[in-house]
Amino acid sequence: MAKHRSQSVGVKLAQFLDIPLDTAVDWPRLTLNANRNLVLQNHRGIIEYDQSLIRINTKFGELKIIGTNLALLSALKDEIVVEGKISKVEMVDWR
Amino acid sequence: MNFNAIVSFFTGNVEILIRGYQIEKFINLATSSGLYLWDIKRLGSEVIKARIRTHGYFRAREIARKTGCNLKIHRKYGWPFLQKKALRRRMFFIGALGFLTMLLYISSLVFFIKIDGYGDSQPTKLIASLNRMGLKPGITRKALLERKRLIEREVMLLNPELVWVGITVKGVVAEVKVVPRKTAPAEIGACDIVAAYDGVVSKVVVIRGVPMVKEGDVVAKGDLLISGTRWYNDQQTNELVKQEVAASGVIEANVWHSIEVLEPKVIWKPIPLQSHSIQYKLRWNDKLFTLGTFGVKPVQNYYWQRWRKRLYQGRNPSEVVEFIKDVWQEVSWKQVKRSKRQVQQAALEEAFRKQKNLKLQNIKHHEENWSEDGMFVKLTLTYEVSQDIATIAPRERR
Repeated sequence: MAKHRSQSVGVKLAQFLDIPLDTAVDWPRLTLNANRNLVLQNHRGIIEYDQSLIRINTKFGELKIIGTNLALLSALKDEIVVEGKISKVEMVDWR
Repeated sequence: MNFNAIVSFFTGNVEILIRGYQIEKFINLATSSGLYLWDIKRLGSEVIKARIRTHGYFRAREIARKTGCNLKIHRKYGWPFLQKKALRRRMFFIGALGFLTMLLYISSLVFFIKIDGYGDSQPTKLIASLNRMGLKPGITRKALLERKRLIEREVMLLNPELVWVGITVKGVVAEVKVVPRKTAPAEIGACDIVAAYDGVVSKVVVIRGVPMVKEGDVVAKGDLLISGTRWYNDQQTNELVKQEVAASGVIEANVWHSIEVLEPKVIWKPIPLQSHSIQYKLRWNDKLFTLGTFGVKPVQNYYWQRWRKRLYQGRNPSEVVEFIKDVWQEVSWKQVKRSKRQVQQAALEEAFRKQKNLKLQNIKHHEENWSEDGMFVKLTLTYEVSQDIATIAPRERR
């Protein structure tokens, strides 16, 4: 609870100081290039990887990517690039 | 990604096959421990394929052991693996090295010299002086930059008509920017002002010289308007002294310009027939290459149309590359009698075209005069224009 409060204080401070949130806090950042390429920054590991489904854990919850011929173009500590024909991106139980 | 590809090539990378039930765990542990995995593809329910840099392979093996996965090298990529092969084919690599060296050397040369700011005149003298100072195609960029200031200074000394010379190198092009010296116009000697057209003088403004006409005078072409000879009485010697000056002034007059157009009542009109021929050509400067001909070219009774498209205009505008399409259309000529209105319309269009070429300004009014001359209709358009008719007549020519 205390952690949750401190985080919201950090966000409020960033908003007050007019600092862009993406640089101030480590929220997951999702970039979708058409339906062919997805870049997810600040992730917390892969839960499941299949050619038609990829589940990735983030700070806020689980991100479900559904499509065909899905492949991980690159996997780094804080960035994942998914390639393939993406048909659905679902945020499961995000708080 | 390209940078990663270059680094991975030089450090060496391997394609690995990972088998096991906890593949996701393997990926997570590998990435969190700082390993870079890319091109990850699932091949089966328990098999994935991924690429990893060579130095990370041993750490990945430890992680695989922890997660209960089986790791196997499928393929090897990069310079460390190519090295042995390369050393066996010495001549190939000497050739490649030679090519790279040649490429680097050629790209360091200056191939084109672009001169900017010289106006329309040919900069032959400037090019000669640039060549004399060593700036010519083939000079290295380094040598040019070292001698840049010296060349600029010397070229200015060799070409006194230039005020400033600046050299900049952009890739294989040396741009020479020059600023020519502006000189005062040459002084006109003693001269008279004469009439350029026939007309009635409406305004006389004399700047220098003696006016010979006044408002309302009728003048013919060549008549003296302002004289450049002035006589005055010298007060010291009390003698009549003749002074020659360059006459100057504005003499405005009402001038009449007439345009005549002869338009036929009957014309020959081409009626296109089925037979035609099309020829495609490529022109490179004065060389003409035929690309293809379709159809048979008519022998007689045809009209020819040319369509051209400029394809490339590089650094040198004199290098003309254009695509040409020639069409020879067979026609039958038919005599067509035009109505009076059509003939008059055509005559008026032609007259206005001619009037545009005359560039008449300050038109006060115009008159149309129609007459018939056998098979032709004649149109005479008369324009009354107020214009400056003064023109210089040097003494030598008179």
